[in-house]
Amino acid sequence: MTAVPCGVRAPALALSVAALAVAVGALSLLVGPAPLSPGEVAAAVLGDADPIVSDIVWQIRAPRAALALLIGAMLGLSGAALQGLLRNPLADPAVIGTSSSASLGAVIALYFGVAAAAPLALPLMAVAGALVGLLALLPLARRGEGPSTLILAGVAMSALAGAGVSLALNLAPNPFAVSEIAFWLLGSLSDRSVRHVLLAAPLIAAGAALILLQARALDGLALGEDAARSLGFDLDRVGTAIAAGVAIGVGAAVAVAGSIGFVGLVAPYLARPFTDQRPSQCLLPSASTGALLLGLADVAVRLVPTASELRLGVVTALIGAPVFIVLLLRPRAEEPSR
Amino acid sequence: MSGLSIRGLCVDLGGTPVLRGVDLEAGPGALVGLLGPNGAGKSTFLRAICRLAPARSGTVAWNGRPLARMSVRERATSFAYLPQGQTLHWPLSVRRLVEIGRLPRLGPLGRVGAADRAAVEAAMAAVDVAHLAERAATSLSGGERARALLARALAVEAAVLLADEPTASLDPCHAVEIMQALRRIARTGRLVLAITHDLGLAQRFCDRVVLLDQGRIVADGPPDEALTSERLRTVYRVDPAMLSGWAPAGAAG
Repeated sequence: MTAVPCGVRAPALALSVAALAVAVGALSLLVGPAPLSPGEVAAAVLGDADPIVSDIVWQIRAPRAALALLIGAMLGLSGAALQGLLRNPLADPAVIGTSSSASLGAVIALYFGVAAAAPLALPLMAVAGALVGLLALLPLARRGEGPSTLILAGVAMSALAGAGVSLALNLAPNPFAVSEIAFWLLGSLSDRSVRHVLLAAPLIAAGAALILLQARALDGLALGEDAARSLGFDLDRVGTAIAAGVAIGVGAAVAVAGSIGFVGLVAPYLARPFTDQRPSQCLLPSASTGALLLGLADVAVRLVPTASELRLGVVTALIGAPVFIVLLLRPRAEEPSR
Repeated sequence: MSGLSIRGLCVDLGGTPVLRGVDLEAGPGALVGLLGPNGAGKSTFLRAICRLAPARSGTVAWNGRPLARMSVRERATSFAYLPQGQTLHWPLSVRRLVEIGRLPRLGPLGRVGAADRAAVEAAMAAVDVAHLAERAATSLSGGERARALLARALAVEAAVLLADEPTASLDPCHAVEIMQALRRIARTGRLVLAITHDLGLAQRFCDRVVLLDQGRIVADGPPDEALTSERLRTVYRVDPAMLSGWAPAGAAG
């Protein structure tokens, strides 16, 4: 049947999902190992609770909630932007190896101890790793329009970055270094502080701005590169700007939370059917959906009673990988159906 | 100097010369058919006109202004390009698809204004897809889709329309529809350059045909003068009697 893709207006959709995400973030303040009642948490939020409760809420739970929303939004936005750029619903920072190359950058910083010496080294190395990975991937991905080219290029990039990480683990001087790197790679938001928020937020804002400025070019690309170029878009500049935006945002996300995959795949997948299908209109709704998803996932890892807390990256991969398989099985928009 | 003026256009692709010094003058209000065997350089010619393929030498000017000196925006709003066999990557509605043609004209905030909406409606009406406006463009039949893609190019409201095989893979009825639409568009004062392999359609609908062979123009003029049996035999290397649709000048009707 012919779908009628009239779509909800993107700002309205993005705002209502964002409101849900913020609500989840607020609810997540109630969750944690310290048994605080909703009344105590509310009092702490309003600023008249005893200092310990106030510290738990403001120094431990609030940063975690804020990071979940920020990072989820960035990952959702990155996925939507990469999908528009590469004209492929399978694109996602994890699938195409950006998260792995950001992790490699971060692991190098951890391994050589620069992360401990200079607090900015870890995020900068993660951004640099993501940027190198993306700039190496784009020419590969643009060689062919089919999904397989992109996936193969992503596999190659992930393998390369993975080999680097393995090398670091292999040569790690002691078991503590190994477990530090390994745990950090699984991705988590536990024990993050206001400092992490202040580190990630500006970078995520900058990355998001770079991406959003290219929104119109993504619509032009819906008809392929020649049509977009004939409409006056400089595709090298568009590709570089989006790669830089994704690298800065995802690099910052990886730096504070480790590797959290598939949010960029699942968020646009969920948001797009409610839009009019224009890539530009999918950006903000995907960002709010990503925030909502990661907010929910981070509450879930704290509520599920396991011996050691579930790692956020493990949960998103468990949810995301099946969606990835579904997308692989589904016919693409332009597959001859007549 | 009004219209399109092309001088000594040479284009190399991967080190091989594809266009070897092409000159062409064409005024507004004409449907010009671009013909020639595969590999003659037709697509490269269209792409070089709107600077999608880099020229090694030569100039392209519109109304006396070289394209090299136009701003990107001026170029994108003066020349609309309809690539061959376009893929639509997202299931946009026909209206959203046609709206893509307005991208070079939108203001800094990207708001679609009243003029843009009017242009989109006019473009859809011109090729008879207005009734399909809310359908997903990916679900259309081949003929409908070809018209919707043409409407996208029309929505640019450019003075020049460059169409690369707009009738490819269409049945005769839909191919005729497209050629009729292109002729109507030309009659509104635009210059339409369309590549086609259908000699019969070119003969019937084009005001002028340009025959390319091995990167050079070998014939240029009204269809009946340019497409002689002798030329077709040398260029296409086939007995013209075997060519469907084409009839020697004077034999038609």
